[in-house]
Amino acid sequence: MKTNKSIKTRTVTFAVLVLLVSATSACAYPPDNAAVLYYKAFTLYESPDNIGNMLWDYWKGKIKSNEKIEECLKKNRRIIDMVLDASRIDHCDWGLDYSQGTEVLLPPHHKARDIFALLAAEARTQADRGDYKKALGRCISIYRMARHLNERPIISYLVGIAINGANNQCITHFLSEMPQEAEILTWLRGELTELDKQPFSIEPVLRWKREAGIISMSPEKINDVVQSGLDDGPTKKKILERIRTANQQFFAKNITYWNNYMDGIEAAFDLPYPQGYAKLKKLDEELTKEFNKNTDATLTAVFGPTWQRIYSLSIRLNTHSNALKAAIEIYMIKARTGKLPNALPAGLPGDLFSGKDFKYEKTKDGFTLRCHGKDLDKDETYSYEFKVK
Amino acid sequence: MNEQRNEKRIDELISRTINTAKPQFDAEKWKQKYPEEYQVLLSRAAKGDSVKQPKILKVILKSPLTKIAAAAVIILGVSIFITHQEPGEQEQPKIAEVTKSPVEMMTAISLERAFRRGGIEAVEEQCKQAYKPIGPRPGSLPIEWILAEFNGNGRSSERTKP
Repeated sequence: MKTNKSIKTRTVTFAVLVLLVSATSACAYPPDNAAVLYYKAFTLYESPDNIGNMLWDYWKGKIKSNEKIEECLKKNRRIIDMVLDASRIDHCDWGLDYSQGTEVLLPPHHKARDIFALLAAEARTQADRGDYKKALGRCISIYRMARHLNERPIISYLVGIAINGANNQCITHFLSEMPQEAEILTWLRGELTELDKQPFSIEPVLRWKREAGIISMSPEKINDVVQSGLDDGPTKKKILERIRTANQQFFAKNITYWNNYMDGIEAAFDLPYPQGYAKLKKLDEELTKEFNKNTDATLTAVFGPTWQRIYSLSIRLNTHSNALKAAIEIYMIKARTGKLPNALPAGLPGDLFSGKDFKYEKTKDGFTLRCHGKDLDKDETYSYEFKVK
Repeated sequence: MNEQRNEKRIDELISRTINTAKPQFDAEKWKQKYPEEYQVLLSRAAKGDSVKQPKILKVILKSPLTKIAAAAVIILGVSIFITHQEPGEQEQPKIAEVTKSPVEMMTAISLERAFRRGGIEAVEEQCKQAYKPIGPRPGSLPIEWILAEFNGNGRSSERTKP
Protein backbone atom coordinates (compact mmCIF):
# COMPACT_ATOMS: atom_id res chain seq x y z
CA MET A 1 0.00 0.00 0.00
CA LYS A 2 2.84 2.28 1.03
CA THR A 3 4.72 1.42 -2.15
CA ASN A 4 1.65 2.24 -4.25
CA LYS A 5 1.34 5.61 -2.57
CA SER A 6 5.00 6.45 -3.10
CA ILE A 7 4.76 5.46 -6.80
CA LYS A 8 1.76 7.76 -7.16
CA THR A 9 3.58 10.61 -5.42
CA ARG A 10 6.62 10.11 -7.62
CA THR A 11 4.48 10.04 -10.79
CA VAL A 12 2.68 13.23 -9.83
CA THR A 13 5.97 14.96 -8.94
CA PHE A 14 7.48 13.84 -12.26
CA ALA A 15 4.44 15.08 -14.20
CA VAL A 16 4.58 18.45 -12.45
CA LEU A 17 8.31 18.73 -13.21
CA VAL A 18 7.74 17.87 -16.89
CA LEU A 19 5.00 20.49 -17.09
CA LEU A 20 7.21 23.10 -15.42
CA VAL A 21 10.16 22.38 -17.69
CA SER A 22 8.04 22.43 -20.85
CA ALA A 23 6.27 25.61 -19.76
CA THR A 24 9.64 27.26 -19.10
CA SER A 25 11.00 26.26 -22.51
CA ALA A 26 7.78 27.39 -24.24
CA CYS A 27 8.16 30.89 -22.79
CA ALA A 28 11.92 31.05 -23.23
CA TYR A 29 13.63 34.02 -24.82
CA PRO A 30 15.16 34.08 -27.36
CA PRO A 31 12.83 31.82 -29.35
CA ASP A 32 14.23 28.91 -31.32
CA ASN A 33 13.34 30.57 -34.63
CA ALA A 34 15.39 33.67 -35.48
CA ALA A 35 12.79 34.87 -38.01
CA VAL A 36 10.37 35.71 -35.19
CA LEU A 37 12.81 38.32 -33.89
CA TYR A 38 13.70 39.61 -37.35
CA TYR A 39 10.04 40.13 -38.21
CA LYS A 40 9.59 42.04 -34.97
CA ALA A 41 12.69 44.17 -35.48
CA PHE A 42 11.97 44.88 -39.16
CA THR A 43 8.41 45.93 -38.38
CA LEU A 44 9.32 48.14 -35.43
CA TYR A 45 12.36 49.89 -36.87
CA GLU A 46 11.85 53.12 -38.70
CA SER A 47 14.88 54.99 -39.93
CA PRO A 48 14.57 58.51 -38.44
CA ASP A 49 13.54 61.15 -40.98
CA ASN A 50 16.06 63.70 -39.79
CA ILE A 51 19.09 61.47 -40.12
CA GLY A 52 19.28 60.84 -43.89
CA ASN A 53 22.45 58.99 -44.84
CA MET A 54 24.18 59.88 -41.60
CA LEU A 55 24.33 56.32 -40.31
CA TRP A 56 25.91 55.16 -43.60
CA ASP A 57 28.44 58.00 -43.60
CA TYR A 58 29.24 57.31 -39.96
CA TRP A 59 30.06 53.61 -40.29
CA LYS A 60 32.12 54.39 -43.37
CA GLY A 61 34.15 56.82 -41.25
CA LYS A 62 33.18 59.81 -43.42
CA ILE A 63 31.73 61.71 -40.47
CA LYS A 64 32.18 61.71 -36.72
CA SER A 65 29.44 60.73 -34.34
CA ASN A 66 26.95 63.43 -33.44
CA GLU A 67 23.85 63.95 -31.29
CA LYS A 68 21.45 62.65 -33.93
CA ILE A 69 23.40 59.44 -34.41
CA GLU A 70 23.74 58.91 -30.68
CA GLU A 71 20.03 59.51 -30.16
CA CYS A 72 19.12 57.13 -32.96
CA LEU A 73 21.32 54.37 -31.53
CA LYS A 74 19.95 54.98 -28.05
CA LYS A 75 16.33 54.94 -29.17
CA ASN A 76 16.83 51.73 -31.11
CA ARG A 77 18.87 49.86 -28.54
CA ARG A 78 16.19 47.17 -28.21
CA ILE A 79 16.05 46.69 -31.97
CA ILE A 80 19.83 46.26 -32.10
CA ASP A 81 19.76 43.74 -29.24
CA MET A 82 16.85 41.88 -30.84
CA VAL A 83 18.72 41.48 -34.13
CA LEU A 84 21.93 40.46 -32.35
CA ASP A 85 19.96 37.85 -30.43
CA ALA A 86 18.37 36.61 -33.64
CA SER A 87 21.74 36.30 -35.36
CA ARG A 88 22.93 33.92 -32.63
CA ILE A 89 20.06 31.49 -33.26
CA ASP A 90 20.90 28.66 -35.66
CA HIS A 91 17.41 27.99 -36.94
CA CYS A 92 15.66 30.60 -39.10
CA ASP A 93 12.38 29.85 -40.83
CA TRP A 94 10.58 32.80 -42.43
CA GLY A 95 7.43 30.72 -42.87
CA LEU A 96 7.24 31.15 -46.63
CA ASP A 97 4.59 29.19 -48.50
CA TYR A 98 6.66 27.67 -51.29
CA SER A 99 3.67 25.81 -52.71
CA GLN A 100 2.69 29.18 -54.26
CA GLY A 101 5.60 28.90 -56.67
CA THR A 102 6.86 32.25 -57.95
CA GLU A 103 3.94 33.96 -56.22
CA VAL A 104 5.32 33.21 -52.77
CA LEU A 105 5.00 36.26 -50.52
CA LEU A 106 8.32 37.59 -49.30
CA PRO A 107 9.15 39.01 -45.86
CA PRO A 108 9.73 42.75 -45.35
CA HIS A 109 13.34 42.51 -46.47
CA HIS A 110 13.37 46.17 -47.52
CA LYS A 111 14.14 46.98 -43.90
CA ALA A 112 17.21 44.73 -43.89
CA ARG A 113 19.59 47.36 -45.25
CA ASP A 114 18.30 49.97 -42.80
CA ILE A 115 18.86 47.50 -39.99
CA PHE A 116 22.32 46.79 -41.37
CA ALA A 117 23.15 50.52 -41.25
CA LEU A 118 21.96 50.63 -37.63
CA LEU A 119 24.13 47.66 -36.63
CA ALA A 120 27.14 48.91 -38.59
CA ALA A 121 26.83 52.32 -36.90
CA GLU A 122 26.71 50.60 -33.54
CA ALA A 123 29.81 48.60 -34.53
CA ARG A 124 31.49 51.88 -35.46
CA THR A 125 30.83 53.30 -31.97
CA GLN A 126 32.60 50.25 -30.52
CA ALA A 127 35.53 50.87 -32.88
CA ASP A 128 35.59 54.55 -31.88
CA ARG A 129 35.94 53.41 -28.28
CA GLY A 130 38.86 51.23 -29.32
CA ASP A 131 37.02 47.94 -28.81
CA TYR A 132 37.72 46.48 -32.25
CA LYS A 133 36.94 42.93 -31.22
CA LYS A 134 33.43 43.96 -30.28
CA ALA A 135 33.10 46.00 -33.48
CA LEU A 136 34.19 43.03 -35.60
CA GLY A 137 31.87 40.81 -33.54
CA ARG A 138 28.96 42.97 -34.69
CA CYS A 139 30.10 42.42 -38.27
CA ILE A 140 30.09 38.67 -37.73
CA SER A 141 26.50 39.00 -36.47
CA ILE A 142 25.63 40.90 -39.65
CA TYR A 143 27.05 38.04 -41.75
CA ARG A 144 24.85 35.64 -39.81
CA MET A 145 21.82 37.85 -40.40
CA ALA A 146 22.59 37.86 -44.14
CA ARG A 147 22.70 34.07 -44.10
CA HIS A 148 19.36 34.01 -42.33
CA LEU A 149 17.90 36.33 -44.97
CA ASN A 150 19.07 34.05 -47.75
CA GLU A 151 15.94 32.00 -48.23
CA ARG A 152 15.29 30.31 -51.54
CA PRO A 153 13.77 33.23 -53.54
CA ILE A 154 16.28 35.19 -55.64
CA ILE A 155 15.27 38.49 -54.07
CA SER A 156 16.19 37.21 -50.59
CA TYR A 157 19.57 36.16 -51.98
CA LEU A 158 20.11 39.57 -53.57
CA VAL A 159 19.25 41.38 -50.34
CA GLY A 160 21.78 39.10 -48.62
CA ILE A 161 24.39 40.00 -51.24
CA ALA A 162 23.82 43.72 -50.66
CA ILE A 163 24.28 43.30 -46.91
CA ASN A 164 27.31 41.03 -47.15
CA GLY A 165 28.95 43.41 -49.61
CA ALA A 166 28.43 46.43 -47.35
CA ASN A 167 29.60 44.41 -44.36
CA ASN A 168 32.82 43.48 -46.18
CA GLN A 169 33.45 47.20 -46.58
CA CYS A 170 32.72 47.76 -42.91
CA ILE A 171 35.29 45.13 -41.86
CA THR A 172 37.81 46.59 -44.31
CA HIS A 173 37.47 49.99 -42.57
CA PHE A 174 38.01 48.46 -39.13
CA LEU A 175 41.01 46.40 -40.27
CA SER A 176 42.50 49.51 -41.83
CA GLU A 177 42.19 51.50 -38.62
CA MET A 178 43.00 49.02 -35.87
CA PRO A 179 46.43 48.05 -34.67
CA GLN A 180 47.52 44.60 -35.90
CA GLU A 181 46.89 42.37 -32.93
CA ALA A 182 47.48 38.69 -33.61
CA GLU A 183 44.88 37.62 -31.04
CA ILE A 184 42.00 39.58 -32.61
CA LEU A 185 43.04 38.63 -36.14
CA THR A 186 43.23 34.92 -35.24
CA TRP A 187 39.83 35.16 -33.59
CA LEU A 188 38.39 36.89 -36.68
CA ARG A 189 39.85 34.28 -39.01
CA GLY A 190 38.30 31.54 -36.84
CA GLU A 191 34.89 33.21 -36.93
CA LEU A 192 35.00 33.52 -40.72
CA THR A 193 36.01 29.87 -41.06
CA GLU A 194 33.09 28.93 -38.83
CA LEU A 195 30.72 30.97 -41.03
CA ASP A 196 31.99 29.16 -44.14
CA LYS A 197 30.55 25.93 -42.74
CA GLN A 198 27.20 27.44 -43.72
CA PRO A 199 28.23 29.20 -46.91
CA PHE A 200 26.19 32.03 -48.36
CA SER A 201 25.33 30.17 -51.51
CA ILE A 202 23.18 30.56 -54.61
CA GLU A 203 22.60 26.80 -54.98
CA PRO A 204 19.32 26.66 -53.01
CA VAL A 205 18.12 29.66 -55.04
CA LEU A 206 18.76 27.91 -58.35
CA ARG A 207 17.09 24.70 -57.19
CA TRP A 208 14.00 26.52 -55.98
CA LYS A 209 13.80 28.72 -59.05
CA ARG A 210 13.38 25.58 -61.16
CA GLU A 211 10.77 24.18 -58.78
CA ALA A 212 8.85 27.47 -58.51
CA GLY A 213 8.76 27.83 -62.27
CA ILE A 214 7.21 24.39 -62.64
CA ILE A 215 4.58 25.13 -59.96
CA SER A 216 3.62 28.37 -61.70
CA MET A 217 3.40 26.78 -65.16
CA SER A 218 -0.16 25.69 -64.62
CA PRO A 219 -3.37 26.88 -66.28
CA GLU A 220 -4.65 28.17 -62.92
CA LYS A 221 -1.62 30.28 -62.05
CA ILE A 222 0.08 31.32 -65.24
CA ASN A 223 -2.08 34.30 -66.16
CA ASP A 224 -1.55 36.05 -62.81
CA VAL A 225 2.14 35.24 -62.88
CA VAL A 226 2.60 36.77 -66.33
CA GLN A 227 0.65 39.87 -65.30
CA SER A 228 2.83 40.31 -62.21
CA GLY A 229 6.16 39.27 -63.66
CA LEU A 230 6.42 41.15 -66.94
CA ASP A 231 6.29 44.78 -67.94
CA ASP A 232 3.63 45.73 -70.46
CA GLY A 233 4.83 45.41 -74.03
CA PRO A 234 4.85 43.18 -77.12
CA THR A 235 6.50 40.21 -75.33
CA LYS A 236 3.88 40.16 -72.61
CA LYS A 237 1.11 40.56 -75.18
CA LYS A 238 2.45 37.65 -77.20
CA ILE A 239 2.79 35.42 -74.13
CA LEU A 240 -0.77 36.19 -73.02
CA GLU A 241 -2.05 35.40 -76.51
CA ARG A 242 -0.29 32.03 -76.49
CA ILE A 243 -1.61 31.25 -73.01
CA ARG A 244 -5.18 32.01 -74.09
CA THR A 245 -5.11 29.11 -76.55
CA ALA A 246 -2.91 26.82 -74.44
CA ASN A 247 -3.76 23.18 -73.72
CA GLN A 248 -2.20 20.58 -71.44
CA GLN A 249 0.38 19.70 -74.06
CA PHE A 250 1.51 23.34 -74.21
CA PHE A 251 2.22 23.33 -70.47
CA ALA A 252 3.96 19.91 -70.54
CA LYS A 253 6.27 21.00 -73.37
CA ASN A 254 7.00 24.32 -71.69
CA ILE A 255 7.97 22.54 -68.47
CA THR A 256 10.36 20.27 -70.41
CA TYR A 257 11.90 23.31 -72.09
CA TRP A 258 12.22 25.05 -68.71
CA ASN A 259 13.93 22.02 -67.14
CA ASN A 260 16.48 21.86 -69.96
CA TYR A 261 17.06 25.58 -69.70
CA MET A 262 17.62 25.37 -65.94
CA ASP A 263 20.07 22.45 -66.45
CA GLY A 264 22.08 24.84 -68.60
CA ILE A 265 21.85 27.66 -66.04
CA GLU A 266 22.98 25.49 -63.13
CA ALA A 267 25.87 24.11 -65.19
CA ALA A 268 26.95 27.66 -66.10
CA PHE A 269 27.07 28.71 -62.43
CA ASP A 270 29.53 25.85 -61.78
CA LEU A 271 31.94 27.00 -64.49
CA PRO A 272 34.83 29.44 -64.04
CA TYR A 273 33.57 33.01 -64.42
CA PRO A 274 34.47 33.87 -68.04
CA GLN A 275 33.08 30.60 -69.38
CA GLY A 276 30.07 30.69 -67.08
CA TYR A 277 29.23 34.25 -68.12
CA ALA A 278 29.60 33.38 -71.81
CA LYS A 279 27.34 30.36 -71.39
CA LEU A 280 24.65 32.40 -69.62
CA LYS A 281 24.83 35.01 -72.35
CA LYS A 282 24.44 32.29 -74.99
CA LEU A 283 21.46 30.78 -73.17
CA ASP A 284 19.85 34.20 -72.98
CA GLU A 285 20.37 34.86 -76.69
CA GLU A 286 19.08 31.42 -77.63
CA LEU A 287 15.97 31.94 -75.53
CA THR A 288 15.28 35.28 -77.24
CA LYS A 289 15.55 33.63 -80.68
CA GLU A 290 13.57 30.55 -79.71
CA PHE A 291 10.77 32.59 -78.16
CA ASN A 292 9.73 33.97 -81.53
CA LYS A 293 9.52 30.65 -83.34
CA ASN A 294 9.02 27.98 -80.67
CA THR A 295 5.96 28.09 -78.40
CA ASP A 296 7.69 25.64 -76.00
CA ALA A 297 9.97 28.51 -74.97
CA THR A 298 7.06 30.82 -74.11
CA LEU A 299 6.96 30.40 -70.34
CA THR A 300 10.73 30.17 -69.88
CA ALA A 301 10.79 33.75 -71.14
CA VAL A 302 8.57 34.68 -68.19
CA PHE A 303 10.68 33.03 -65.49
CA GLY A 304 14.25 33.50 -66.65
CA PRO A 305 15.61 36.49 -64.70
CA THR A 306 18.77 38.40 -65.61
CA TRP A 307 21.07 35.51 -64.82
CA GLN A 308 24.26 37.20 -66.08
CA ARG A 309 23.75 40.04 -63.65
CA ILE A 310 23.00 37.73 -60.73
CA TYR A 311 25.97 35.51 -61.56
CA SER A 312 28.32 38.52 -61.73
CA LEU A 313 26.99 39.83 -58.40
CA SER A 314 27.61 36.48 -56.72
CA ILE A 315 31.17 36.27 -58.11
CA ARG A 316 31.79 39.87 -57.07
CA LEU A 317 30.70 39.20 -53.50
CA ASN A 318 32.76 36.01 -53.19
CA THR A 319 35.82 37.72 -54.66
CA HIS A 320 35.46 40.59 -52.18
CA SER A 321 35.15 38.06 -49.33
CA ASN A 322 38.27 36.29 -50.60
CA ALA A 323 40.16 39.59 -50.67
CA LEU A 324 39.17 40.15 -47.07
CA LYS A 325 40.39 36.69 -46.01
CA ALA A 326 43.65 37.21 -47.89
CA ALA A 327 44.05 40.63 -46.23
CA ILE A 328 43.61 39.12 -42.77
CA GLU A 329 46.53 36.75 -43.52
CA ILE A 330 48.67 39.71 -44.64
CA TYR A 331 47.75 41.66 -41.50
CA MET A 332 48.72 38.61 -39.43
CA ILE A 333 52.16 38.60 -41.05
CA LYS A 334 52.43 42.27 -40.17
CA ALA A 335 51.38 41.48 -36.59
CA ARG A 336 54.01 38.72 -36.34
CA THR A 337 56.93 40.35 -38.16
CA GLY A 338 56.18 44.04 -37.83
CA LYS A 339 56.14 44.58 -41.59
CA LEU A 340 54.10 43.76 -44.63
CA PRO A 341 55.28 40.88 -46.82
CA ASN A 342 57.03 41.80 -50.09
CA ALA A 343 54.98 39.28 -52.07
CA LEU A 344 51.61 37.69 -51.69
CA PRO A 345 51.89 34.55 -49.56
CA ALA A 346 50.97 31.34 -51.39
CA GLY A 347 47.71 29.52 -50.93
CA LEU A 348 45.47 32.49 -50.22
CA PRO A 349 41.91 32.76 -51.56
CA GLY A 350 41.97 34.43 -54.96
CA ASP A 351 40.18 36.47 -57.59
CA LEU A 352 37.18 34.50 -58.84
CA PHE A 353 36.77 36.68 -61.93
CA SER A 354 40.01 35.23 -63.31
CA GLY A 355 40.62 32.17 -61.15
CA LYS A 356 44.06 33.59 -60.30
CA ASP A 357 45.65 35.02 -57.15
CA PHE A 358 45.13 38.71 -56.46
CA LYS A 359 47.78 41.15 -57.67
CA TYR A 360 49.42 42.29 -54.45
CA GLU A 361 50.90 45.74 -54.24
CA LYS A 362 52.33 47.61 -51.28
CA THR A 363 51.27 51.24 -51.13
CA LYS A 364 52.53 54.14 -49.01
CA ASP A 365 49.84 53.60 -46.39
CA GLY A 366 49.06 49.89 -46.73
CA PHE A 367 48.46 47.45 -49.56
CA THR A 368 46.12 46.72 -52.44
CA LEU A 369 44.70 43.48 -53.77
CA ARG A 370 43.73 43.77 -57.43
CA CYS A 371 41.68 41.45 -59.57
CA HIS A 372 43.05 40.18 -62.88
CA GLY A 373 39.65 39.44 -64.32
CA LYS A 374 36.92 41.89 -65.25
CA ASP A 375 33.32 41.99 -64.10
CA LEU A 376 31.84 41.44 -67.58
CA ASP A 377 28.43 42.74 -66.55
CA LYS A 378 29.80 46.07 -65.32
CA ASP A 379 32.91 46.12 -67.51
CA GLU A 380 34.97 46.89 -64.42
CA THR A 381 38.06 45.47 -62.73
CA TYR A 382 37.98 45.70 -58.96
CA SER A 383 40.75 46.44 -56.50
CA TYR A 384 40.57 46.38 -52.72
CA GLU A 385 42.56 48.83 -50.64
CA PHE A 386 43.67 48.10 -47.11
CA LYS A 387 45.47 50.54 -44.90
CA VAL A 388 47.97 49.83 -42.14
CA LYS A 389 48.10 51.92 -39.02
CA MET B 1 -42.31 77.30 -71.26
CA ASN B 2 -39.52 77.43 -73.78
CA GLU B 3 -37.02 77.96 -70.98
CA GLN B 4 -38.39 74.95 -69.15
CA ARG B 5 -37.98 72.84 -72.27
CA ASN B 6 -34.40 74.07 -72.62
CA GLU B 7 -33.62 73.21 -69.02
CA LYS B 8 -35.01 69.72 -69.57
CA ARG B 9 -32.86 69.37 -72.63
CA ILE B 10 -29.77 70.51 -70.68
CA ASP B 11 -30.50 68.02 -67.88
CA GLU B 12 -30.93 65.26 -70.40
CA LEU B 13 -27.68 66.11 -72.13
CA ILE B 14 -25.74 66.33 -68.87
CA SER B 15 -27.12 63.04 -67.58
CA ARG B 16 -26.32 61.33 -70.86
CA THR B 17 -22.78 62.68 -70.82
CA ILE B 18 -22.18 61.63 -67.25
CA ASN B 19 -23.85 58.24 -67.35
CA THR B 20 -22.59 56.93 -70.65
CA ALA B 21 -19.13 56.52 -72.08
CA LYS B 22 -19.94 58.48 -75.23
CA PRO B 23 -22.50 61.31 -75.50
CA GLN B 24 -25.36 60.32 -77.81
CA PHE B 25 -25.45 63.19 -80.23
CA ASP B 26 -27.40 62.68 -83.45
CA ALA B 27 -26.29 65.31 -85.97
CA GLU B 28 -28.97 64.39 -88.52
CA LYS B 29 -31.81 64.81 -86.06
CA TRP B 30 -30.38 68.08 -84.83
CA LYS B 31 -30.15 69.31 -88.46
CA GLN B 32 -33.83 68.47 -89.06
CA LYS B 33 -34.97 69.95 -85.79
CA TYR B 34 -33.06 73.25 -86.06
CA PRO B 35 -32.83 74.04 -89.81
CA GLU B 36 -32.31 77.79 -89.27
CA GLU B 37 -29.28 77.42 -87.10
CA TYR B 38 -27.92 74.79 -89.45
CA GLN B 39 -28.27 77.10 -92.45
CA VAL B 40 -26.51 79.91 -90.61
CA LEU B 41 -23.63 77.63 -89.78
CA LEU B 42 -23.46 76.35 -93.36
CA SER B 43 -23.48 79.80 -94.93
CA ARG B 44 -20.69 81.02 -92.62
CA ALA B 45 -18.60 77.99 -93.30
CA ALA B 46 -19.09 78.30 -97.09
CA LYS B 47 -17.90 81.90 -97.12
CA GLY B 48 -14.73 80.87 -95.32
CA ASP B 49 -14.17 84.44 -94.19
CA SER B 50 -11.95 84.46 -91.16
CA VAL B 51 -12.86 88.03 -90.28
CA LYS B 52 -16.50 87.07 -90.00
CA GLN B 53 -15.87 84.02 -87.85
CA PRO B 54 -16.74 85.80 -84.61
CA LYS B 55 -20.30 86.04 -85.94
CA ILE B 56 -20.63 82.26 -85.80
CA LEU B 57 -19.62 82.49 -82.19
CA LYS B 58 -22.22 85.21 -81.76
CA VAL B 59 -24.92 82.96 -83.23
CA ILE B 60 -23.85 80.10 -81.01
CA LEU B 61 -23.82 82.24 -77.91
CA LYS B 62 -27.10 83.88 -78.79
CA SER B 63 -29.19 80.74 -78.81
CA PRO B 64 -29.21 78.36 -75.81
CA LEU B 65 -29.87 75.49 -78.18
CA THR B 66 -26.78 76.10 -80.24
CA LYS B 67 -24.80 76.48 -77.06
CA ILE B 68 -25.89 72.99 -76.06
CA ALA B 69 -25.19 71.66 -79.52
CA ALA B 70 -21.70 73.18 -79.56
CA ALA B 71 -20.96 71.73 -76.13
CA ALA B 72 -22.11 68.32 -77.31
CA VAL B 73 -19.92 68.49 -80.41
CA ILE B 74 -16.85 69.36 -78.30
CA ILE B 75 -17.55 66.54 -75.81
CA LEU B 76 -18.11 64.09 -78.64
CA GLY B 77 -14.91 65.15 -80.37
CA VAL B 78 -12.81 64.83 -77.20
CA SER B 79 -14.27 61.43 -76.32
CA ILE B 80 -13.73 60.09 -79.85
CA PHE B 81 -10.14 61.37 -79.74
CA ILE B 82 -9.47 59.63 -76.42
CA THR B 83 -11.13 56.30 -77.25
CA HIS B 84 -9.49 56.08 -80.68
CA GLN B 85 -5.95 56.60 -79.39
CA GLU B 86 -3.60 53.59 -79.65
CA PRO B 87 -3.03 51.82 -76.32
CA GLY B 88 0.57 53.00 -76.33
CA GLU B 89 -0.50 56.62 -76.73
CA GLN B 90 -2.89 56.53 -73.81
CA GLU B 91 -1.50 57.29 -70.42
CA GLN B 92 -0.73 53.97 -68.75
CA PRO B 93 -1.65 53.57 -65.11
CA LYS B 94 1.33 53.13 -62.85
CA ILE B 95 0.94 49.44 -62.08
CA ALA B 96 2.85 49.32 -58.82
CA GLU B 97 1.07 52.37 -57.42
CA VAL B 98 -2.45 52.09 -58.72
CA THR B 99 -3.58 48.66 -59.78
CA LYS B 100 -1.61 46.34 -57.52
CA SER B 101 -2.52 45.34 -54.03
CA PRO B 102 0.21 45.03 -51.34
CA VAL B 103 -0.04 41.24 -51.61
CA GLU B 104 0.58 41.35 -55.37
CA MET B 105 3.51 43.70 -54.87
CA MET B 106 5.19 41.40 -52.37
CA THR B 107 5.28 38.24 -54.50
CA ALA B 108 8.67 36.91 -55.58
CA ILE B 109 7.87 37.30 -59.28
CA SER B 110 6.70 40.88 -58.88
CA LEU B 111 9.81 41.85 -56.89
CA GLU B 112 12.02 40.15 -59.49
CA ARG B 113 10.39 42.38 -62.08
CA ALA B 114 11.24 45.40 -59.92
CA PHE B 115 14.84 44.17 -59.67
CA ARG B 116 15.12 43.92 -63.46
CA ARG B 117 13.85 47.50 -63.71
CA GLY B 118 15.99 49.19 -61.09
CA GLY B 119 18.07 46.81 -58.99
CA ILE B 120 17.81 46.34 -55.26
CA GLU B 121 16.70 49.97 -54.74
CA ALA B 122 13.61 49.34 -56.88
CA VAL B 123 12.88 46.21 -54.83
CA GLU B 124 13.10 48.21 -51.62
CA GLU B 125 10.86 50.94 -53.02
CA GLN B 126 8.21 48.43 -54.06
CA CYS B 127 8.30 46.80 -50.60
CA LYS B 128 7.92 50.22 -48.99
CA GLN B 129 4.91 50.94 -51.19
CA ALA B 130 3.41 47.58 -50.26
CA TYR B 131 3.79 48.20 -46.54
CA LYS B 132 2.60 51.81 -46.75
CA PRO B 133 -1.16 51.06 -46.65
CA ILE B 134 -0.69 49.54 -43.22
CA GLY B 135 -0.44 53.17 -42.16
CA PRO B 136 0.18 54.65 -38.74
CA ARG B 137 0.09 52.34 -35.81
CA PRO B 138 -2.25 53.04 -32.89
CA GLY B 139 -0.70 55.54 -30.52
CA SER B 140 -2.51 53.90 -27.64
CA LEU B 141 -5.21 51.32 -27.25
CA PRO B 142 -7.61 52.29 -24.43
CA ILE B 143 -9.70 49.57 -22.87
CA GLU B 144 -12.94 51.26 -24.11
CA TRP B 145 -11.89 50.71 -27.72
CA ILE B 146 -11.05 47.09 -27.11
CA LEU B 147 -14.45 46.61 -25.47
CA ALA B 148 -16.15 48.47 -28.31
CA GLU B 149 -14.47 46.14 -30.83
CA PHE B 150 -15.48 43.18 -28.72
CA ASN B 151 -19.09 44.34 -28.69
CA GLY B 152 -19.04 45.01 -32.40
CA ASN B 153 -19.29 48.81 -32.04
CA GLY B 154 -15.69 49.63 -32.79
CA ARG B 155 -14.45 51.55 -35.76
CA SER B 156 -10.94 50.56 -36.70
CA SER B 157 -10.15 53.97 -38.17
CA GLU B 158 -10.66 55.62 -34.79
CA ARG B 159 -7.77 53.69 -33.39
CA THR B 160 -5.14 55.22 -35.58
CA LYS B 161 -3.39 58.46 -34.95
CA PRO B 162 -4.44 61.33 -37.21
